[in-house]
Amino acid sequence: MKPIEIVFYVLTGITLLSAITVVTARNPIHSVLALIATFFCLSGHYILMNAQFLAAVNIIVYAGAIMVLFLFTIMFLNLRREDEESKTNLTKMAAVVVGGILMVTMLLVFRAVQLPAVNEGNFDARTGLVEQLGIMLYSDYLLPFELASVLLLVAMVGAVMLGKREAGDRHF
Amino acid sequence: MLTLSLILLPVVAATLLLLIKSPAVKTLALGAALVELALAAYAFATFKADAQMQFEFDYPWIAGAGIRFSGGIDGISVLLVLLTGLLTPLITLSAFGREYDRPSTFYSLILYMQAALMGVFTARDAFLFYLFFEAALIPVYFLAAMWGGEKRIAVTFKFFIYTIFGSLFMLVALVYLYYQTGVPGKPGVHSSAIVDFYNLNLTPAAQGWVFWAFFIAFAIKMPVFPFHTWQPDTYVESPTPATMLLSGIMLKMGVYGLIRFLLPIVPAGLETWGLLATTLSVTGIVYGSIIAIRQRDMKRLIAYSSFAHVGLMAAGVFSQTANGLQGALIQMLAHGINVVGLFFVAEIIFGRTNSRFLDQLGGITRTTPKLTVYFMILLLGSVALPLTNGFVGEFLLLNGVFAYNNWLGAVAGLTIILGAVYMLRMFQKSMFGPTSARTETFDDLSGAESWVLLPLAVMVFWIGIYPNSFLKVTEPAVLNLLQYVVK
Amino acid sequence: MLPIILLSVFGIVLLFMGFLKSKVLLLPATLVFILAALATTFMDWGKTYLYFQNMLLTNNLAILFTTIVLLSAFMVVALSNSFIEDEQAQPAEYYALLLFSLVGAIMMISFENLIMLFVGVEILSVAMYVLAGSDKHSPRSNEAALKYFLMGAFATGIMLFGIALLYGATGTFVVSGIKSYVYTNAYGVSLLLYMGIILLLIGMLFKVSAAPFHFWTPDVYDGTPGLFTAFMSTVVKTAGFAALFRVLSVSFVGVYSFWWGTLAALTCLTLLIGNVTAVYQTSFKRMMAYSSISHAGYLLIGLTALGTQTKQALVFYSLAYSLATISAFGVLLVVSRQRQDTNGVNENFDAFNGLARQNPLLGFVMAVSMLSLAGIPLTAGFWGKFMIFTTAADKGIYWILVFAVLMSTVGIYYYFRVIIAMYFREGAAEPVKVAPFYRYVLIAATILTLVLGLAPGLLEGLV
Repeated sequence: MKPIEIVFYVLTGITLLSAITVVTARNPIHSVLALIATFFCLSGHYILMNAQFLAAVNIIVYAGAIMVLFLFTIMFLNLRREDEESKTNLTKMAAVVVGGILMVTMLLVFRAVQLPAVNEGNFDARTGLVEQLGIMLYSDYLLPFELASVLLLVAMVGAVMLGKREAGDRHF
Repeated sequence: MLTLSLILLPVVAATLLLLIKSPAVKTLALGAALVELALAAYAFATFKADAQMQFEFDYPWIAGAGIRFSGGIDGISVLLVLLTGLLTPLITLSAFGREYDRPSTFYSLILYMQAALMGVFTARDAFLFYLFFEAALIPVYFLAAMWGGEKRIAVTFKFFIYTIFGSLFMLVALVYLYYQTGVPGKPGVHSSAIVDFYNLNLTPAAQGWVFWAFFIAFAIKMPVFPFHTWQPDTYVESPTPATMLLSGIMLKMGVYGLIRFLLPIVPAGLETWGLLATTLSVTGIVYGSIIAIRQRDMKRLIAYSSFAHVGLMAAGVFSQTANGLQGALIQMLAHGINVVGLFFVAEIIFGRTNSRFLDQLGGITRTTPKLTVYFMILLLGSVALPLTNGFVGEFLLLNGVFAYNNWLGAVAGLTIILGAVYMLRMFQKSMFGPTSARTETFDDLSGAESWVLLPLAVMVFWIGIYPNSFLKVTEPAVLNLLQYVVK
Repeated sequence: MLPIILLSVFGIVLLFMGFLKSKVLLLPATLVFILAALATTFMDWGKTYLYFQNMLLTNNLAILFTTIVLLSAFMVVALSNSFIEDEQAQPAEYYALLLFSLVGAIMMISFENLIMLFVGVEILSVAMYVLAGSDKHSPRSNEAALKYFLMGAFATGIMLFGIALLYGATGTFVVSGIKSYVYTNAYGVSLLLYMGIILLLIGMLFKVSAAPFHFWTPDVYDGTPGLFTAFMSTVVKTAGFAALFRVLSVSFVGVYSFWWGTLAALTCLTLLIGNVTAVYQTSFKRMMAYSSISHAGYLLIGLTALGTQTKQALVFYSLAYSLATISAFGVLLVVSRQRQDTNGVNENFDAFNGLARQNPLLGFVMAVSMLSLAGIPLTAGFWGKFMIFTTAADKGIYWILVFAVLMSTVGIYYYFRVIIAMYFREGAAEPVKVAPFYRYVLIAATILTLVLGLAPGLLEGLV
């Protein structure tokens, strides 16, 4: 086995383990920490696929900003152990069936699909780097990039609107 | 233009009436209906007795799809146009006796109904026919539900949904037929003109289910056994003008539909299923008549008698003979006149005695010579005594049904006997015998009431004595239609 | 392209106008902005433009859908004056969010690149999540926003997965590029394409509330303030179906035999669930939510029977449905506020009792809306259903037609409950007060419904 394959399998193993821990952990803080580990491993995968910018942004935005937000929220709400009610057995069964069908279908598709082989001559090693990404983003994909700013504006306005303190609100 | 104004005049008049608040709205409505009658009478008088469509109008509607706003009067629809034009002023005048609240809405709904009915009988485009067919339900639903009896809300709702359910099947069939029409060489070009449907060559399987789609729609409308469960309750709970519109004109839409659509478009379907359809119709005749004999409520009795008569009309249409069709057409005119008159008499009696139950009435004839005469004339017309309109219709119809199937003809002939039983029983129990507490002081007909009953009585005798003035007008169109049937 | 730019700029302008002391200018300003966007939309009539290297494609069909969406927004904003005033809220933000959501809707209608579709869906959805939760003091509004957000984000994620798989299969995000891939590889389409189609469809069908992805709809529509429910149920559906039409009729028409069966089954399920559950509702607003599910079913028939008639049918049906829904909600808003019961705002059927006698105009407007939604002739809704039925007949799929007809009959039952309550039952004695401008909007919508019901040929030939 080539070294890169070993790295891939180890990374995948850790990713799956931490992802399962996110779902099954009792303590929400453990859940968050496992999610951070998952994101780090995903960044490792991105680097393996030569998407360096994406790996960096993943760590900064997800594992950094968003996970910190999660931790703050959990600490504010003072959640300790999981004490939410479980869903009914019927719901669990339905979820398993539906999720299972989706998983099986996707696995079958991914096994059966024939992806075109990498063309060694055409391959540009700088594809995932910031410079290439920047050029694409500001030339071919300029319009969705700019319109995504409208999306961010909507989210900001909405967050402020919903979270703003009004006269007559309770103060915590 | 004439046909278009027949449809548009009541609409315009009704919309204007909605804005008027004064009590003069009644006379204005009557005036509008009389103008319409003049137009309809003119159309009838100047109608040429051939197989052509006359007084046509034709405008593009959804031109790209070949759906046109086109109409006209031909031999099959001319009698029905005359019927609608004749009955509406009489119905309007008959409503003067009772003070209905919100009169402007009441009378404009009657006029809207007339417009929709005129549209149904004169449409030459299948989807225009469907539009008017459904649109006619809306005014009568509001009339019945706003001014009706106690159980009106549930009853009228059942009527509305049941009828629309049936006609939605007809819509599916019409869409199917529309897609079967086409110009060879030009794919995607279809036409919804009714005459184009006549020339289609449908497979026997397609003819079968198209037959059932049409049959269900029209069977619910007329009604034909066993789709009749909505009818007695709706007729009884509706205010009498609405009942007159329902029984006098609206049920004719079903028979007209059978003649206009079912017969010429699916003759092979008729071959396969006609016997069953005729049997159902004839069952309705006997069933309706027997139940009518047992009725104590006058309005319900007349409703069941209407159900029985329409069964005979349907059977006559299914007989696919010229006599049957002629009989159906003239019987539609005759039955409309008779049943409107009978319902009006029941309304007069109810208005004076506050009861429609036969065991609470009696001896009315003592103080009412005029009412007795008119009641008797209309009753004999319904019973089909020779020299009355009913006789002409029933004779031709029974002739047709007998030619189709001897046994069914014989059973259908029972209508004469049974009809006489329940009608004469009704007359005897209400008019003859000792007076009851309610009928002791019974005023005779007022002027307005006489003016309603007089034209009806005249028509009973005119059609009965000289039916050819009507039959000759319809005959060429009937023979022309039959050529599509006998394939 | 121009409407997108204009609406984004105007949205920002509105946010700044919120600084002004008086709020009187906001409503007219928003209306003017929407009209300006509408005017610039028509500048592209008759031509087909590709903007920005295959990012946006504007053709006559896109212009028509954009017009319907802008018209719906215009009516919703016009109906908002009395509603927003007494909330002491900041209307500037609401209007700005509405304009931004229109940007998203227009992107969904005229996209040519799947990335634009995604960004458009997100803009529209996030704006809708916020507006759903805009009534901060109502726990039902909060619940609606949270439910919509969680489920919507999940659905968008699935859609994005589908887009990624489509890229993996075809190597391009562009709609026409996918189409040429499908045609050149007619016998050897990559399996990833099928997976991508399914996931993309799941995401989009969620947005238009088709079954079995409809579970969010009743609670969200019920909890959202009425005005925004009207916007949600018309604009989001129109934009969603425009997007579905574009993607199915251009990119995936080559593999029609793959997806039409699934879509047909989902159509029947949607029609069944939407119509049958609506029968049992006692709240008018919830009934409208279920009825919007059933209307999604009717529109899906047009997509299942994809053909030459589908464009016209979808446009006409969306227009008829939007007009009828918004006028119905307009009447509901004013009636439910002024006829409150013990629980506050009364949105049940019995709030409408006797309305026709006190306010004949409101009664007539609501009656025409209900008749149009039920598909009774003389209204635009009948012709919408008729055109949808003709698409099914054109393809020869008659069993869907019969099923839809049966479900229509069920639909008549619950639409008529309002008419019965208004006309045939006795209710409160005082008439409901309606502002004049409000009245004009309702009258205009009703007149348009009736005119289109009598002369549907007016819109013909435009598509």
